[in-house]
Amino acid sequence: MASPTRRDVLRTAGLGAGAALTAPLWHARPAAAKPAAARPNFLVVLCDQLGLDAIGAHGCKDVHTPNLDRLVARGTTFLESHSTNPVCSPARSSIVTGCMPVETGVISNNRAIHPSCPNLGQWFRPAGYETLYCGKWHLPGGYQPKIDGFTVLPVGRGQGDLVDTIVSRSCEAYLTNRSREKPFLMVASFMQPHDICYWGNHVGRRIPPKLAFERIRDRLPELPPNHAARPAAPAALDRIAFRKFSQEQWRYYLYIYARMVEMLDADVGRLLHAVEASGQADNTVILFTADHGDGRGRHMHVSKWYPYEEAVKVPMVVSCPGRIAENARDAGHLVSGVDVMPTLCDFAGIQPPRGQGLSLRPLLEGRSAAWRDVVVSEHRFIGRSLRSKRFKYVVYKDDPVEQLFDMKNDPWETKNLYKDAAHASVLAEHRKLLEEFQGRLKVVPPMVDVHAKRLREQRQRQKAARSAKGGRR
Amino acid sequence: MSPPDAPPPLEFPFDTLGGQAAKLRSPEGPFDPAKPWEQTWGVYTLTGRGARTGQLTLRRRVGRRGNVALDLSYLKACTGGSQKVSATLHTRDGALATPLRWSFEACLLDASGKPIAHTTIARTAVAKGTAIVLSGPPAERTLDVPGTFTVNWALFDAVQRLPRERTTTHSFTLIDHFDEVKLGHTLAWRGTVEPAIGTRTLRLHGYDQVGQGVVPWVYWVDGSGRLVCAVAGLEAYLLEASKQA
Repeated sequence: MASPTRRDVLRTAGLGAGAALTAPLWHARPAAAKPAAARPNFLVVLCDQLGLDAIGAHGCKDVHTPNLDRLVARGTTFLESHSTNPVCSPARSSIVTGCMPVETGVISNNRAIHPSCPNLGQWFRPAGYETLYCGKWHLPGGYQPKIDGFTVLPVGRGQGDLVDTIVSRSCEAYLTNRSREKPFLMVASFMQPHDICYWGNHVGRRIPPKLAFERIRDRLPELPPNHAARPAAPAALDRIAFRKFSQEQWRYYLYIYARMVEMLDADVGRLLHAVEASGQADNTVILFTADHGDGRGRHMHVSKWYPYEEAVKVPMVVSCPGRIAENARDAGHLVSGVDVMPTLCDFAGIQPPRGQGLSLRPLLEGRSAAWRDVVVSEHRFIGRSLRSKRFKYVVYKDDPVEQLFDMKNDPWETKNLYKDAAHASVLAEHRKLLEEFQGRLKVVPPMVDVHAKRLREQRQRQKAARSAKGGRR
Repeated sequence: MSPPDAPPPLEFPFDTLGGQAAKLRSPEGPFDPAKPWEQTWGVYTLTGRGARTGQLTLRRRVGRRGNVALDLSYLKACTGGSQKVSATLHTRDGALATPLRWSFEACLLDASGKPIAHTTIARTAVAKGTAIVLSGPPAERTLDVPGTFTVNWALFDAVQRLPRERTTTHSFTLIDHFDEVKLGHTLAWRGTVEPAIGTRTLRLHGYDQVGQGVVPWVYWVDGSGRLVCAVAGLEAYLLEASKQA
């Protein structure tokens, strides 16, 4: 197959010659090295707010996740998998481009990806792939009728089950009915267990003092060991600790989160069955990951946005029977959302676009590979946490407090060592490592937060209307 | 501070309906849930002010031999189109309306209402002992179902005919959305409440359902048994039309 020309790429991106000024400034073009028939299909299953240890196969005793457990068993799971930024849009921008959020311009929610960063669809479609997207996008809008590079399957409005059943059913149908002329890259992007995000803020306000469902009292999960832990942290982080729940309400929160994970599990199961029934399981790489985790009562947190493990660690499971090691657990390599793009490109025989990611393929095939010593996450416009094999070092935006955790001896992050004289050299070393990492970034100006812009404009209109009304009096 | 004549705040889970609670109503006139009927519920998502996102219609048919069929039509609004699900469930007329067999079809429609290529899927299912055999392209699939089971939408029929007493507790396996097995479910009597909706006061009888793979559901029926409201987390179904066929 001929390599796509730049014109093809621009056409795919929805950009004609007249749009040259806004055209992507990509650093390389995708070049298909293998014939179409030899290239694998890709099913990227992306979910929202799922912590790494929130599924049965990763040790969670409070959920029943037979399908996710089966996916883990049929592939390789990375136990040191880190979100690039524990909030939806930034993390998603990294997963679909291979760049850090400061490089995609998506430093917080509701921003579009900078044109210099091609997404998976824009990169794989010109290389001969049928590219489909179904579900939450959030770059900038949640559910987009059009996404550059992808054919978009419409998804419902609302939350949780209302949309996820549409995603799984539609993807199942597409996998069953599609023409097999081209290999496919499908992204099935589920909402759950993100509904929990509203539990603290929306439903939580209205949960009555006594347990709403008495019959589940003996099924409520125990609180995590670091529930009350408050390691030295910036005041802003302390302020977002959620203090409205009683112990029982916290446990009810955990119960509900577990049920939402199980809802996701059922939808993932539908996709697994569809791939297996299609006869293409041994030529379809399934990659399962999440944008970020959830507080789950650890450090008295709900939701995300902060650099603790519960928000940053996410599943990264890759499977393809016969190609990828099965029932394998990798706890030795620090991996990240930026690794998705180069991994898929590697399997497809496509040169990846520039970015910060590494291909997981050698690790998945049991080969040795030079690997990173540290992985970095951004947070809160933009603080950073740097994770080495032993320590986690955190800096915050506009706050002098730093954090240093010994992840071997204190995996629940209860004791901040940054003022501990015995760890002064470790702190200095990690500061230097972060500085080096930052020096490698190709930072772009932040893209516009469309939600904030809309609110700003709305307020201006209201103000103008009030002024006009006052003037008429 | 609330004015002195303001109605008391709604209790959980009605309070989660927010502004949509004003739509709660119990239609006038007699109703027998064991006879044929047709009911339509508006489907709401409960974040922010809440929004209507779809419509579910169930039609209960009763054959001459007492055999029951439920016809389902569910339309969900999508960004750039909609999803349509149609189904028929042939049920035992028991407490949980357990289906003996069912068929369903789902497809995505574009903004003009035309089916989107490759997105239609149809399946039939037959209960055989402790298994359910799902048929349809590309392959047959068998679900292992321990003990009593029912399908989530059949519960919308079942709760309308359940006795209103504390002893009413049923254990079952849930088949969610026609093909997902979720274990360890119980459906139990919750009690009677009288929520004040504006100037009206309703008298509703509740059942709740808990188990794997769902956030707890609460079903509320009126004095005649009509399912007025079902709430599960951020999802709610509010009765819009009910007629005895």
